Amino acid sequence: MPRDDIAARLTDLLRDFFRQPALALAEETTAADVPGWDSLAHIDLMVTIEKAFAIRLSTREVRGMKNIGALLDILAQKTA
Amino acid sequence: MGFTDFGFWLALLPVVALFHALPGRWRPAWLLAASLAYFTIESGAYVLLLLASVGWVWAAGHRIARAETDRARLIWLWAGLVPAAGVLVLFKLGDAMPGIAAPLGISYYTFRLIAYLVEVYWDERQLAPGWLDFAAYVSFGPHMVSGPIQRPGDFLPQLAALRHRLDPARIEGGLQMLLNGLMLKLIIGDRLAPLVNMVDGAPAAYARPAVWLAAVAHLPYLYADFAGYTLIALGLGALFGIAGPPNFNAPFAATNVAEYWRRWHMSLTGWLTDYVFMPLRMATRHWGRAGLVLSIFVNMVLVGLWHRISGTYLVFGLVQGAYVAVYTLWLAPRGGPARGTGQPLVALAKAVCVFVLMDAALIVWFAPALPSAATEARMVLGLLPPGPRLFEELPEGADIKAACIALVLAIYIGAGAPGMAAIRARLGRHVPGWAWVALKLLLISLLGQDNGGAFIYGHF
Amino acid sequence: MAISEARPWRTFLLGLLLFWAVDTAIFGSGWYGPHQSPILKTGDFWFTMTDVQQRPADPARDVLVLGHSRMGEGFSFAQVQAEHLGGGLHFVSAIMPGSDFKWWYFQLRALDPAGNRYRAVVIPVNGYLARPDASSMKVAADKGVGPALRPFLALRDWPAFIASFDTPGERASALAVLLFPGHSLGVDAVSWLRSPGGRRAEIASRLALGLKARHEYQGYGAEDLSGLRFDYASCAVSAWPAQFDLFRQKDSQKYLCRPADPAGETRMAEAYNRYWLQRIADLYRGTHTRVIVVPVPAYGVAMAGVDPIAGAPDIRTGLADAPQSPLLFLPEAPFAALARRANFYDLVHMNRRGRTLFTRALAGAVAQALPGTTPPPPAAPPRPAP
Repeated sequence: MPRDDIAARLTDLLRDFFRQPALALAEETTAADVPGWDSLAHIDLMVTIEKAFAIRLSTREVRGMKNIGALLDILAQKTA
Repeated sequence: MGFTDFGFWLALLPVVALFHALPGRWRPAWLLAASLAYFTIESGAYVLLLLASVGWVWAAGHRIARAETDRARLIWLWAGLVPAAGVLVLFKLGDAMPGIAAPLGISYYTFRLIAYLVEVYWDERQLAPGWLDFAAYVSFGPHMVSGPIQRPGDFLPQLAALRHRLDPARIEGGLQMLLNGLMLKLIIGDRLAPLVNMVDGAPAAYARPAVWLAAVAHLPYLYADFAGYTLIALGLGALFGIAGPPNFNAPFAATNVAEYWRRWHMSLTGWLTDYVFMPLRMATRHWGRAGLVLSIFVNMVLVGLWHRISGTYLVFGLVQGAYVAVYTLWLAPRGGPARGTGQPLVALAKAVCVFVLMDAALIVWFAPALPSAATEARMVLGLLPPGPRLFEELPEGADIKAACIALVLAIYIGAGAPGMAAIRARLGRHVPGWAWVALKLLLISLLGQDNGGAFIYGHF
Repeated sequence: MAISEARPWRTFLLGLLLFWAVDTAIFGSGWYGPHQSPILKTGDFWFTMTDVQQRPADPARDVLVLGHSRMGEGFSFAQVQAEHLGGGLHFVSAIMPGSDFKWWYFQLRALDPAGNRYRAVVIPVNGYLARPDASSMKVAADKGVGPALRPFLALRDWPAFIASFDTPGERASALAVLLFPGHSLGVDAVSWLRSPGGRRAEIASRLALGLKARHEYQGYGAEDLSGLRFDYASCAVSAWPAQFDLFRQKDSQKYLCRPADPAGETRMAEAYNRYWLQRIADLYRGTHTRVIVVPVPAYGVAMAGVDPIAGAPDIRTGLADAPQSPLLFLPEAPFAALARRANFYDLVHMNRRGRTLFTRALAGAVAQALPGTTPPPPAAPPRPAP
């Protein structure tokens, strides 16, 4: 899947997940930039992403990602 | 020798002076030498154990970074973790045996070793640039005794930068933190210590007002002592050019228990969240609520048991697990951005509830054993007849009036000292910096209690 | 608050200097002395020392009595007067509860810098055989010694005072007390601010008493140790006499049991006693002042924690017969005979009966030991105490 498509799907998914229709994402966006994205929500979000993209994420991947850009990299790699 | 001994500061003077006078490239080495010297003065030959742990984890980190397969990476992660954590667990078990003193700050340097290994495992770019930097990170003297627990990714770049530049603003902040920490610990915390120790020593012997007041004082006392320590540790670190992680962020302003734990001993709860809770939560993410509850309980039981492996800390952890689980499952707002806490009065009521819950749990935390915790709890609830003693044993200077003032101040500061920033900003324009320093020193000197220099968290 | 951004160290050092100046002006200059509470330990010591310093000297007859609470409870100055003991000598008290050699040495430095004010100086030891009680004595006596002595230490005594502590940490603390005397007076200052009127009254009544505050001290009552049920071997107490409140019981524990290393404690006690006796002797070597050492009956019952071990050394060896030594060791037997349950109020302090006997024994022995003074006439008519 092309990276732009993933980014679009991810934005929809996050807007829905955090109930913020106006949420805008950039490569540098981190969890701290999004209200409600705490450690608990993070896991639920990862589960949602796993289901939506039909992939499996490892702890190392989840913890190693520093921002949206890193998440996109992983998704692009897994859905290739 | 600790942070409240004059000898410590006297000895520190040449160490800091030389640190500043040395050419930048020598600073990390001097910092390491001074840290190891301090550790050796306090814990003698255990320094060899510290160095062995440093060497082993350093080697394991490199193996992880160089590993070709995920499997090899994982094997080296555990090969590094098990001995480091094992030594800590052995000493925690040994706590029960008399005559065995644990090495200085073993909990805290082990937390740093583990943080390093896991960070390298997650992202091999976290590898320390050199053995000296790594050893200086693990043995960093100002944070050695009781933290705060700084992450390698926060510490190592600062250390590297020291080779080029020392920021005067950091020194300034550090000196302020030192003075504020000493005030919080010596003037407020140590003024509450006699009250708490007196009643906790024999709860059944005291009348209701004494029992209640001591029970209320547990949490503010622990806060003033530990937050005071942390400020001193952070200030000391800043004198060596290192900005450390905060440990307390107005915990008494928390309006729910989960928020409380994000504001209390933050460097530890953050550490546990990242290295225990999140991996567990990831592993159990398909188990639904059971996975969440299990992760919460494991996490909170560890919050208790790392102090010491004993019944009281187990019960403390279970109580905290119950608090957080109940909140997370039934009370927390679900999904979406966190809502505001609403009306100020509602927020206040919630904050008071959190305070009472935490204070209640501390009855077990402070008790030497479970039966005495049960006795004290029953005394507080009025289920046992009151004893004859009141406040007459309190020493001059920490009498009941002074203790009450200290109690109110500790709660006010622990709630974030609302309004203080504005007053400080207004006064700051008229009062020069050196006058503040002199005033604070005078207050510490005149109002600081002599409590033998002990910090509560010095034992963990 | 804004410490100067550019020069944080300069700002800090300036603040430290200002603090030191204020602290010294208030607490280190001598101004604060007469405003202290005479009820607290440091203030009590200040008033006593000042009273003794200001008393006109009579080098032919004055005998300065130093000592800890055992001397304070045991030696009655009022009884000396009432019974005309001491053959015309004037006993002057600079006794301080909880004091020991270190206190006495520096008290003498302050009270008698030229070594010419007193006919004799009396200091107590806990018997002549070294006992395994050195650590507990030292720990107790080092408490508060710095703050109390600070106003009376000349600058040239500072190094000796600091060196009199054993560990670097203790020495640093001693230096801190000397440099920043306000810290140890903080409690005193706050209680003054809380009740200025009360403080004024305390001081006025103490000043009115003067030396009488020490000399007319009544001491403990007639209670004794006959009710004490105590097992030497297991060092367990099965019955405390009624006068032992919880605090006194707790305080007594340290004497009951054999210390972990009695031989080491004994060696430490021997070295400690001999070191300080030697130093105090050095103050008066070659002067006409005698330093009279009295072996106080230190303990009312035999206790494992304090009884001399087999082969315990004699602390006098080599001290008294040194050339020009001012030391006079009073014979031990009459004092050792007083170490009985009937004479003691608690484990270490004499009661009314013990005090009466000890005062006669000590005053008599001192008078006998000083040539040129005569023992009191045996039939001196007793005079009621004022």
